[in-house]
Amino acid sequence: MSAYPSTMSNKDRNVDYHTTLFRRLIWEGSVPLEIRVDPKELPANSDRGLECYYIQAPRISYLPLLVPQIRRFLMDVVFDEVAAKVLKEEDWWFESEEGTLLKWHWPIGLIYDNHTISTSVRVSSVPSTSTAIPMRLILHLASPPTEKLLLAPNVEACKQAFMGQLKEADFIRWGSTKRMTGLRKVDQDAIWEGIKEHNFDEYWRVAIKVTPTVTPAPPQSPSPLSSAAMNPSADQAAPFDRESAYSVRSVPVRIYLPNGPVIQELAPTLLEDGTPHTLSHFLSSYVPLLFPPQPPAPPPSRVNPNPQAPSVRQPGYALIQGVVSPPDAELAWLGACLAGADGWLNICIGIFRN
Amino acid sequence: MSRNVTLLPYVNNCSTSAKWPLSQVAPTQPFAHFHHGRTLSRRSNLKKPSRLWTPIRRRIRPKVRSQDACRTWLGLTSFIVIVRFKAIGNAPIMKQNFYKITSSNRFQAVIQFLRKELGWQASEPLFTYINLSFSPAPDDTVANLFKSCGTDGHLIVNYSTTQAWG
Repeated sequence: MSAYPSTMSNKDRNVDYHTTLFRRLIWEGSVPLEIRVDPKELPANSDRGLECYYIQAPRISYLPLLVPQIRRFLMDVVFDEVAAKVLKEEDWWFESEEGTLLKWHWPIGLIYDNHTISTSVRVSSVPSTSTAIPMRLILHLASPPTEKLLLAPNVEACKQAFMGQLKEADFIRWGSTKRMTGLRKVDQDAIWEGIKEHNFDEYWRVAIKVTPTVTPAPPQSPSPLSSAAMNPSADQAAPFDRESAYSVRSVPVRIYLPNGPVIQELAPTLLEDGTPHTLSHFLSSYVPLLFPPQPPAPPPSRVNPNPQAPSVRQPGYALIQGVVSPPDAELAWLGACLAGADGWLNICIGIFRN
Repeated sequence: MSRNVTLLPYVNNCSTSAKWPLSQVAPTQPFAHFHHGRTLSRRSNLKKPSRLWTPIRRRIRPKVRSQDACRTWLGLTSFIVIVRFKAIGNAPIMKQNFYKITSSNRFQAVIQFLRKELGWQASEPLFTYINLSFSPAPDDTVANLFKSCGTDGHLIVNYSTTQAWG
């Protein structure tokens, strides 16, 4: 993995090792899926013992991109030739085990995390990042509820939705989409090809032009986390960069609550007093009952430069890319390093149950 | 149980609906319906009825940008968003192009409404964009789009019969 930073550097921007490392980790993140054809819809003469397909799917990928290999499996192993001729991929659609329609245009990682938090409401479970349980999907072979799925189940519609999301993220970051629209057609296509082929270098060769760089927060702000731990290369005060993650208007961020509601709020990277906007501050502003605001810490002194505030128990936890995220992570950094391939930082909120 | 936990915090912030740009609401809309207290107190101070609207507008405008606006999520405290449709290219122009919509609606509802108004068949292509720049996801809510991309108190929706921006 140490070879990547050198291939990632671009003539305009240098990406430090840690940024690339996190982007690489996000890129390689995958989730286990168990795909089962709805038993009521299995064509006659199917091999019923084998209708289950397991896959470790990339988080940044999309369901329509998985359909070809699922189809290949079903055709080879489960269906007979007669059934294979009748079935049309356009009629396929997915549902979770609980009966939630799975959207074509949501990244698979988001679908998985959203499932995790919905489960956290019903079942007492502590989020675990080491053991992942396969999410069970039910594949239906006929009569898709088109008006609820919102998009046609083909790769082209998925690409359009993906590009739309990239542009919306661009708009939210910079107030215009000129970084995205400034890309040549080949480059725009290359971004999508990168997703389709799961090619990190192809994707980031272009994506780096629209993603903010990770430079430290403006010098007046003490930011123990980002400047020391996450930006080891930025010890000396760099000139404030217009392309920096800290100079964006707002981080493209959505908060997903269990069972549906999505909150999308403007998330400036710096607070009014110039300190970086942290995840805990953001969540306690918008989901205060699950993330009660922490009482202020005593003022820092020379003896105790980082005084700890008395902690308040939080009933909620934040999952970003499947990882329970530390409350003092900065939104600017999260937006530049842990965002999905579509540029969005998706925060899924789970609930601890006793 | 959990649902209550999630939904409770903003029930008390219903007053936010008073802070949207009322100047654009059609005159038939009863003003006091949105804005009880202030309208009444203003009315008693002002002599000329024709001047009634202007000062109120000035007082309300800055509030739209206030932080309070950000608290209206989940559609619980839904407010009214004014959608302004603008045709691009050869798309037919609408006679009436300002519409009010409740913020908790999804963008899909805007698309469906637009198709109905234009008499567009499901098979005919229609592309919708926000601010001449991007197509939002159809499951994005109008509230979310307005908060991050609203322009002068409107949500500008461009529509085209051909794909305009990638």
